[in-house]
Amino acid sequence: MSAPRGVPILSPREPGSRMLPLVIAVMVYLAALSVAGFGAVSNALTGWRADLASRLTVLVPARPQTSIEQRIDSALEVLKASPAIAAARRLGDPELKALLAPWLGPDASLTDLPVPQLIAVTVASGATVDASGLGAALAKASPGAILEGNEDWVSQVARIGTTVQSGALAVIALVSLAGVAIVIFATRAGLSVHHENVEILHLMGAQDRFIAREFQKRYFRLGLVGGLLGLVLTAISLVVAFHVLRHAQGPWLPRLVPGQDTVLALALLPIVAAILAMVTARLTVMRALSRMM
Amino acid sequence: MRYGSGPEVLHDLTFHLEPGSFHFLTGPSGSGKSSLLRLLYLAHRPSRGLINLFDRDLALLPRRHLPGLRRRIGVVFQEFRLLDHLTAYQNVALPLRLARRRESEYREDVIELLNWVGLGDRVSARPPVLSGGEQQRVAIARAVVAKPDLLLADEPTGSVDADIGRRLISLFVQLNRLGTTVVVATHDRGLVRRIGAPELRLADGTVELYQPVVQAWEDAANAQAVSDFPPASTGASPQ
Repeated sequence: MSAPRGVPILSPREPGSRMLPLVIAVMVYLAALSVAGFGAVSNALTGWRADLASRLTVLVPARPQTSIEQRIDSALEVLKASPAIAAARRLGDPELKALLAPWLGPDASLTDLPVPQLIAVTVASGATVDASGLGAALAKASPGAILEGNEDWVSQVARIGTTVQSGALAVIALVSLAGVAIVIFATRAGLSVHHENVEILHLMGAQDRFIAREFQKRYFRLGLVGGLLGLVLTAISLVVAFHVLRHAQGPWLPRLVPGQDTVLALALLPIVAAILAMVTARLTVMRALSRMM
Repeated sequence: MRYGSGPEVLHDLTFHLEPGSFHFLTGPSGSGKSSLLRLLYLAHRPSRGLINLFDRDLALLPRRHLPGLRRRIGVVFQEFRLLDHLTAYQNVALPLRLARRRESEYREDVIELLNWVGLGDRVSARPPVLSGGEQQRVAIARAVVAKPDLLLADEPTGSVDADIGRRLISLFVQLNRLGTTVVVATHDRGLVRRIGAPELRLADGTVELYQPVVQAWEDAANAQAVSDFPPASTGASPQ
C-alpha cells in the first residue's frame, strides 16, 4: 500500500503534459537567443564605445604636384604639439592595404592610386580634444588635412545597438506573453479534464489554495523541464554560432561574446519559465475555483 | 432552488434538523432529493431563501469559511464520485488528509474501517477494478471516516445486497449515536420502516415530515447497536 502523502491528488494523466514542455522549450529557446543577443550587443557596445572615443583619425589627401610626405610631417607636428594628444602615428602601407582590401582586393597596388594617407591619433586618457580648433590648425599647417572624430560613428553604432536591444526585449516580452497564454490554455484544459476530481475535493472541504497547489506543482515541473530543454538547445546554438562567428569576424567588427551577466541570465531562464508557468497556473485555477460556491 | 434559469426544483421548504437527529429523505424520483442534498452539502446556493448550517447563516458567510464547514459534512454521493487514480485506502483517507492529519495517526483507523465495511482485502485496489457495491462501501467509508457532524447519504444502499445494506445503515446509526446528524435519501421503503426514523417526504418541490408509526427493528444484530437510538421525537418540525 502506498502512502497517500506525496500521492498526487489529481490524476497524473494530463492533456499536454508532453506537448507543454516542448512548447515552453521553444519559447525559452527564443527568449534565450534574445537574451544572448542583447548581452552580446551591450557587451560589444561598451567595449567599442570606449575604444572609439579615444581614437581620432587624420586624413591627408593625395594631391597632384604637392609632396604628401611634407604635409604629413606638418600634420604630425601640429598633433604632437597638442597636449590632449597622447600619440600620433602614420599608418603604414600594409595597414592601408588591409583597410582597403574589402574594396580593392588583397593584391591592389597602392602606388597606382591617389590613396590618402592616414594618421592614427590616440587621445590622452581623460583629455578632451577641441575638435574644431585642432581641425583648423591641421588644415592650416597641412592643406587638405581633415580631422575625423568618431562621435558620429559611435552614436550611429549606439543607435543600431539600442535598436537591436529593444528588438531583443520585445521578443522576450512577446515570448513571455505567448508562454503565459499557453499555460492558461493548458491549465484550463487540465481543469476541465480533472473537473470531476476538483469538484469532489472542493466539496470535501479542500481549500482553493490546496487544489491550486496541486496544479502549481505540476506546471512548475513542466515549465522547468521545458526551460531546461530550451536551454540545452540554446547552448548548442550559441556554441555553433560563436564558432562560426569567430572565423567570420572582420577586424573592425566588435567581438560578440556574451558576458557573465548574460550567462547568468540564461541559466536563470528555466527557473523564470517554471515560476511564470506556476504563477499563471495558480491564478487560473484560483479564478476558476472562485466561481464555485 | 433552481438550476440556471430553469424552473424552481424546490420551493417553500422549511425544516429544522436537530443536531444529533436521524432523518430519511424520501420522495419519488425527480422530486428533488439530490437537489436538497446539494444545498445541504454546500454545492449550490439557494436562489432564494435562507439556510442556517451549524448555526451560521450561509448567505452571510464569506466564501473562505465554507471549506471549514464542508469538512464537517460527510457526503455519500449517489454516483460515489471516488478518485479513480487513488487506491481504496487513499480515497478513504482523503478527508483526513484534507484536514491535514498525519498519516501515522489515522492509518490504523482507516484500515480498520475498510475491514469493517468488508473491504479488508481491497485496500490497495483502485475504484475502476472495484464492483459497484465495493465502490459504494468505499464512498461510505470516506464519508464517515472523519466523524463528521453532518452525514448526508444519497441512496447509500442502492448497489449492495440486503446484508451489507443493513451493515452500512447500522454504521450510520452508530455514527448518529456518537452525535452525528444524519440524513439518508432513499426510496427503499423497507429500510425506512426498519429503522423507524422520521421521514422528510419530498413531493412537488416541497417537503413534509412524517413521524414513524412503528419502530421495528428486524435485524437482531442491529438491535443491540441501535437500542438506545434516540426516539424520533428529536426530529424535524415543519413550520
